[in-house]
Amino acid sequence: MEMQQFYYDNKIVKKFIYATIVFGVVGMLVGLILAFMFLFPNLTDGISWLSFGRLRPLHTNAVIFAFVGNAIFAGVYYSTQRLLKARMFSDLLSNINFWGWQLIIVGAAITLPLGYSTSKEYAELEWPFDIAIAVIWVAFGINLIGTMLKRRQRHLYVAIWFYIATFVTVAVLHIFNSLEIPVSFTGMKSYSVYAGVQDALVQWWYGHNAVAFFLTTPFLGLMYYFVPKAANRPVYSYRLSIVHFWSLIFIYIWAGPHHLLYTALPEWAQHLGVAFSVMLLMPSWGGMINGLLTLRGAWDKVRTDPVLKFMVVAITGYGMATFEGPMLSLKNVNAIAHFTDWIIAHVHVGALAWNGFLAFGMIYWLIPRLFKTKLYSIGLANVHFWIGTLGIMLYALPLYVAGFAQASMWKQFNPDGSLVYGNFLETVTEIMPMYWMRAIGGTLYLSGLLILVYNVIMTIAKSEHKVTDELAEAPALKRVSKRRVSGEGWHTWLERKPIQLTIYATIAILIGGIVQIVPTIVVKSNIPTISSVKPYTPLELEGRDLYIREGCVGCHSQMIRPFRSEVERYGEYSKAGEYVYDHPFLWGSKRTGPDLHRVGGKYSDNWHFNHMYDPQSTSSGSIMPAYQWLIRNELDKSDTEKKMETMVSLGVPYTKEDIANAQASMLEQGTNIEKNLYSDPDFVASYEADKAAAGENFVEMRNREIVALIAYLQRLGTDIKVKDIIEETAQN
Amino acid sequence: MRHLIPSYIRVPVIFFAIAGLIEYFVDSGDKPAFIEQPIILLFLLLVLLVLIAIEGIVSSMDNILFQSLDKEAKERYLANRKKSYQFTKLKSIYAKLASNHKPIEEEGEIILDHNYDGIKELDNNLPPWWIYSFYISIVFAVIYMVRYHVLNADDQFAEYEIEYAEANAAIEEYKKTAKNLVDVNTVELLTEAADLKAGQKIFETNCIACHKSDGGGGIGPNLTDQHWILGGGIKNVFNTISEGGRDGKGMVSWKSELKPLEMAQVASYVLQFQGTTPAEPKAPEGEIWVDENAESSEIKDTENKDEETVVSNN
Repeated sequence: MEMQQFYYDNKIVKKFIYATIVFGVVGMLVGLILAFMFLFPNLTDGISWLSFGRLRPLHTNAVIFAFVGNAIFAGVYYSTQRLLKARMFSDLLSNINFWGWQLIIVGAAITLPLGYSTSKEYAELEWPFDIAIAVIWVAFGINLIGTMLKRRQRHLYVAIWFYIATFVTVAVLHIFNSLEIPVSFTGMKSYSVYAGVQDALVQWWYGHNAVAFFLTTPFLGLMYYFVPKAANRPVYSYRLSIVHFWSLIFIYIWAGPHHLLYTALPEWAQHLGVAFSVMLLMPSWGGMINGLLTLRGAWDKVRTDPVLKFMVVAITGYGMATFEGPMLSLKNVNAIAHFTDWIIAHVHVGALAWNGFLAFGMIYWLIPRLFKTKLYSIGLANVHFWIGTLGIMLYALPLYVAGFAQASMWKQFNPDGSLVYGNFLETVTEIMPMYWMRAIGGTLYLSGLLILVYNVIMTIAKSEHKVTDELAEAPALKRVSKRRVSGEGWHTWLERKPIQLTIYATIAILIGGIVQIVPTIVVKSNIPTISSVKPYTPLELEGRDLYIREGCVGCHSQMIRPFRSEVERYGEYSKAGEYVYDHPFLWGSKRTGPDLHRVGGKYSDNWHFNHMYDPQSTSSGSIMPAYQWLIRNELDKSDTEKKMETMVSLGVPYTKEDIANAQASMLEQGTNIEKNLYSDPDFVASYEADKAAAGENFVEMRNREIVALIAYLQRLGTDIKVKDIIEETAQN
Repeated sequence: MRHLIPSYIRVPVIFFAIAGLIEYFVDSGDKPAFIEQPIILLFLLLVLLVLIAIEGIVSSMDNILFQSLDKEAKERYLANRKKSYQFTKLKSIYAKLASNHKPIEEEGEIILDHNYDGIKELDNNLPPWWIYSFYISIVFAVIYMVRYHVLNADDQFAEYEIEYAEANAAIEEYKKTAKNLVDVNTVELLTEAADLKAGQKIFETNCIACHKSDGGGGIGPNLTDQHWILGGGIKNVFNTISEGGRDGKGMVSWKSELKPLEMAQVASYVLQFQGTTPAEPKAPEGEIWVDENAESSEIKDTENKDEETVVSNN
């Protein structure tokens, strides 16, 4: 056997590690600012690009795609080369992967605060970025599969299976969820090709499986490499690896609809979501068992080695989050937990413990090896571990209480049939202490990360070595003779066939999505039409785009579930047919503020105006920030016709006249709202004073952004009157 | 089986089970049943005594019977008793479910010849509890789908109808017996200082954003003049507060946030503004409203017709 010499590319790993650390700090810092905005709503007073609605997608995207994403690449690039006994397929692709990914992140950090957002959760980036992500991700995939093809290790280790599933599924999810039509190729704005219920289903098929295939499967792969390495123990059960890998990737993809229980989504899809979520528990726990039991016989090391400590808490956190997930998917539990902080606690157990701690463990293990030295301080790493663990608990536990308490308050009735907490705000002020504790927990967790930063910097500073490519040798892979493979198991066969493995994994992950999404889009009866539902007027459409730009959907749902407690509070429950012109859907996933689906006509235009100017003036104790720039800014009406044309291409029935008359229609509707605003003498006084002071450049109220937003809000949920609906359903 | 659980556990468990059942079945409002009805406390004491007595009697019976056995039988009895303490069956089930893996010392037998960058793999069996739980979850999923889509269990809209039907029945029942109910037909102007004080508090929390603290009006109309958009007088004001103003232009409905009594209090407080002079009065809106039931009203006859149209606009 001839030995071949080759070099592992360590520099690319180093780059990804640095990016992980930097964006970890950034993403968590933004999260912490958001946590403090619950306590001080006007913390970033008046600065539009630092408002809650715009920073929230920045936080989620930074943590998921920048922090965890870079950690994935670091771990994958390190382990893949070693598990396949080969340098990465192409250094150029490695670097395109690195620099492309960082450019996308920087672009996101600029455009999200500026309000360029599709509003689809964890897919907020606009269409140019969607294309860039797809390109970079495919570059990563080619690099990964190329390395497999030139490998020197005959069989593929379980970590590699997980990397393959990650690559394939994220590509499929990203491309199909991001199908959208740009309003123009010179602008950032686009509209999702799906509307309403269909958009919701596709979005949560994506959203849930972003958790599955971006936050879970790649990290399981990392676990399968770094835990046995750090513990120096054999993996507990190869058989378990096989069973839980295939069951996990097959079942996960079906579970998306559990994010839409009791909504207007057809119930057969909801029930499939519940059933598969319950079946998902054991496949998830298979990973946890295999990780924890690999540590059998190494628990004495866990006591002293901070790397293993981080990993143990990570795997335990994974086990807790994946137990909670199926429980939250049960309809009766979901009826309580959905829209509350319970879900925020749930995802943060996953993010802070599983993703965060595994990434930290990996960094503490990798940095000394890359720099051929010892970690600067084991003691500091231990401090980080304890402060981080405490942070997770202080973060999650209060929010569980907050979620449960608030949900109970939402649902409580007086004996005379009225709501005990009819004012939504009462339920918010009740949980403010929990928001305080969450902010403290978050502070602790971030402090821990800063300790890591210091420890890493000192380790590197003290090291006398630079990161260099690492020499390795292995014999080249020869064709195996038929005789040698006779009688091998089918899975052993599969493990030496990367292409077949990729194809089978693709089939496994496609089935669930196809069964749920295709009928929802194709079969008409899934979304009963309501004849009184009409497209938005041009001004309302512009207002809706402002609602999307400001990220209102981050705190306000537009989905009234068929519960007495919601119908009494918000109005008639939401119907699938009401959303047919909603590109994208705006159902939301969290109610920091009340649902807005039937807010149309509830308040006067003046109320909305004052509320946007100073929410606390109309709703004392509100934690909504002020949106004064909406009142100052002139509405950009230059794209309205193009927007309507784009909507027409998506099936929204605007006529030619509608589009031709768009400007006149907007002016008329805006003027009406302006007239209504005149009924408040305070408004008149200050507005007239402004007008006198501004002189010629004065922008009249009818042409400002606030008027469009008010038009949209006043339209919401008004297409159907309750008595019409009864007739409609009777006809169907 | 009796020997499996010692009496110091058995007695409290049975006792609290009975106490719990009583709490569940006896309707005692907010307070615990045994405080509301002392007789229950007495009964529970009796139950406790009886339980202890039974324990005593049974164990002394045991003892008597045991003493009456011959020596061989005594030994057999003791041996049997000892065995039953071991939970052998449970233990063996647990062992079967939990640990089907090789002990660490025997790992060499199941280590595979895999070597991935130094990582080895064992070929341990799937943990039985894991695989059985997986099977159970699959069975659950099948039953779940069958229940909804073959056996046609209630869908979410049927659940919703049921929830409302039950709630409405309970509300009807409550209204039959409840005292001091106020609605638009029965509401009267309140004049007690306490009521007006409460009304003021409600007004200052909820209403001043639109009506100003002196009722002079802002977003909402001036409350100090005789003009009313939706009619003056306690009944109309109560109704406007309860149901809200004109759609899309007026006030929200407050009935989900304020109790009927609170709405009566704040309506009465609002009517106190009549005739006062606010700092910045908003121009009058709506029609001059005159109470048709007022006793000595000279304009009553002349404006009766207008007033009817105004009121019927509600």
